[in-house]
Amino acid sequence: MSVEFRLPDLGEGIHEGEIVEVLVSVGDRVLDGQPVMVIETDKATTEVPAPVSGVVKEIRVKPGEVVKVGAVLMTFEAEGRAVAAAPPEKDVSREKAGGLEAPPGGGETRPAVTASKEPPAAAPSTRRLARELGIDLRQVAPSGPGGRVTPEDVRRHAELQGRKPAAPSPQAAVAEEEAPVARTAAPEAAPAPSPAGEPLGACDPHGAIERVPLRSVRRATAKHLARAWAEIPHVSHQDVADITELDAFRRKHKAEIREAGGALNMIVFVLKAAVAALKAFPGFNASIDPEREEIVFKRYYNIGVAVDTDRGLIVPVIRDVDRKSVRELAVELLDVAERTRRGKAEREEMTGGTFTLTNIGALGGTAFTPIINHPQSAILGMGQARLQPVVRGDLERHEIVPRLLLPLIVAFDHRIVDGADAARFLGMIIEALENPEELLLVI
Amino acid sequence: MAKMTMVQAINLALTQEMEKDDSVVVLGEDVGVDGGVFRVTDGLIGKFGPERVIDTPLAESGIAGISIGMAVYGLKPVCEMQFSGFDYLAFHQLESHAARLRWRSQGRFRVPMVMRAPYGGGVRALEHHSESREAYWAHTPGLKMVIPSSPRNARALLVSAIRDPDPVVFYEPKAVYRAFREEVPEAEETIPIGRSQLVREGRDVTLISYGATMHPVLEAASLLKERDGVEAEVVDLLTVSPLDDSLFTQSVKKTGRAVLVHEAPRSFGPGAEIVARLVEKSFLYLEAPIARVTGFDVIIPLYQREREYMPGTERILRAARETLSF
Repeated sequence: MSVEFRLPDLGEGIHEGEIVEVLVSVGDRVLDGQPVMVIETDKATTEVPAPVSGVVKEIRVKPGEVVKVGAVLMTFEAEGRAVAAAPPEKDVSREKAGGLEAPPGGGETRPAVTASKEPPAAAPSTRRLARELGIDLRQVAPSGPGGRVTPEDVRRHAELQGRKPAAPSPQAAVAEEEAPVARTAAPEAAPAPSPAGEPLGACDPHGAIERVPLRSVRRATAKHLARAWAEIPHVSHQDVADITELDAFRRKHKAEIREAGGALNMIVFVLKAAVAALKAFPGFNASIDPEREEIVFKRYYNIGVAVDTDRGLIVPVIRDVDRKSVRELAVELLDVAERTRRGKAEREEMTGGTFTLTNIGALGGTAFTPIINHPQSAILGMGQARLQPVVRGDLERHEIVPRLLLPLIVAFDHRIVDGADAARFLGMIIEALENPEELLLVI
Repeated sequence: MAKMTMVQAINLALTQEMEKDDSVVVLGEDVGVDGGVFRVTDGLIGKFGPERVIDTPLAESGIAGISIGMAVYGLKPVCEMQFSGFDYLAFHQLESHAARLRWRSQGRFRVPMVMRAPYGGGVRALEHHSESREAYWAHTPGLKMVIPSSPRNARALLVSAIRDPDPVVFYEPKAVYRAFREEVPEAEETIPIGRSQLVREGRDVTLISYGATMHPVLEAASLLKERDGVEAEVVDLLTVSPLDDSLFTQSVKKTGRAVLVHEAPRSFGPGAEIVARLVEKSFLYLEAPIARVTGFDVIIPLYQREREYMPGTERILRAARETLSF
């Protein structure tokens, strides 16, 4: 029996993935559950297991290709009667590819993609608009005649999602013009922002260029950050923490944590201090539900830690930071960061964050502008800790001492909290970091 | 510049090309002494003599076959089929020889002939005198299929057809032959074969047609403007094959809507190909299904029912409005 293996629904609104590697060749015999390809969805790579035992008959995808949910990846000549009696192929693949599915609980809930089989009714031009705005037509409520989705429906949906209507394509712009000359000249010459991909040009009016498809992590990052920036009114607040004492403490216990399999970085302490501040200021551990006009306060503390990888910025999430010891956090952080760098972190490890920490310090820099990890309400950035002369005392009696100073920046959603809250929030973190003994009391 | 009917404009093209080039010859039934059934070849035999304006027997296959032979040996025959409804008798000659001789001989022989034929309904004619079967020719690789819509473009296209190195089928809409006059410049004018023309600018809907139905189409475009305030863009194909899809696909990218009009029967007619090109090239710009206003899949009726068959202004208006209100 021939079995088509389709890309299963990945959940979490993800509707496509990039093929990273195909692990089998046509003619290979595979066993049910044996990995047959590696797929990268938004930010995680996953090995996809074979849905049946059998022989690979046909491989329809190549590495580098972006495939949509439901696309046929490969076909198998399945073996055995048990398989022939199995439920329809799609269900088989869904079931077996459990690893790809969204985690059943945990993480904030997003409206699931209702994968209705029937495509929604809409004119092709409306489909183009939806495609340009990145809107899934199946999620748009239709208002047109005969249950059709109209362009207005798509625009309204986009606004609800906080997406700005894209700049009109050259064709659309041309349509606005009366000038007959422009009509014939423009459309073919100026490439529209087409997802189908334009021919790669070698130069523009100012010099040589190279066009590279926006793919994979870069693409996910671009979409996500654009949304965050468009939707969230960002304000940032900065201060400096004196971590001289804390660093001494850190160096003292470094070796011991290393033996336990972790790395005692300053991040671990900042995580702990942040979670204490999040508990005191719940507005920083929240999100906005725009449709119901409500603030959703999260009563769990999952902190994403931005990791710089050669594929781009990836943010694995450390769960329940409030319930883990410094030692546990140091071990977990090292493990997840290393796996993330190797592309081995699981998809569910990237989801469900309530707050994010980003540390540019290792590469230098004192002040920067972190962008909030939508739909969270705040992000904490760490600059580079530097030994600096600090003046103590007053004008009459003072001394200058070398101290280790850590710049901290919090960017926050001004819809939920105000600058004064941010000052207090950051103040509490600094207080904890500057007084390791107090840190003990708050964590 | 003189105002001319299409008949006079075609006569002018033939006269001037024959004056300019000795290898151009005209042949067909009654094209000589009688000056042709619609007087298209009137006066040519007096000017150029019976060696270059040849009255042939009533034998379409022979007319086409002789033309192919003349063309292969260096002449540029312009043969006339007295009504397109009889050119099927020449179909074998054109399909099996004229259209493929260049290919068959790997380029050694060319067939620079033109087959003219009055086509289409609207003049209350007999059976076999009103059909619109351009699809037969357009579907034949190796042939070009040209259909003018007005005196001026008929003249310019015929000059291009005569000079074309390959066989061209040139259908003349007889409903337009004497329907109106248009300024036709005395000086030479050509229109390249294989290029369509934008005859009216608009932004709301694209009307695509050619030949005789261009006139109800243009009338419908004016009425849409007057009555509905709708700006229709109108494209005249001029050449049915090879089909120039760049202009109309571009236009539909702007308007999002298309109505195409021809009097040929609907199924497998030229309109079907135009719809296919629009779907291939302008798909994501379409805001409504593409409408076709065509003849029906029946033999064109005799004169009492002919008007029901022809795509008239009202049918075009209705289709345009449906498309616009989709």
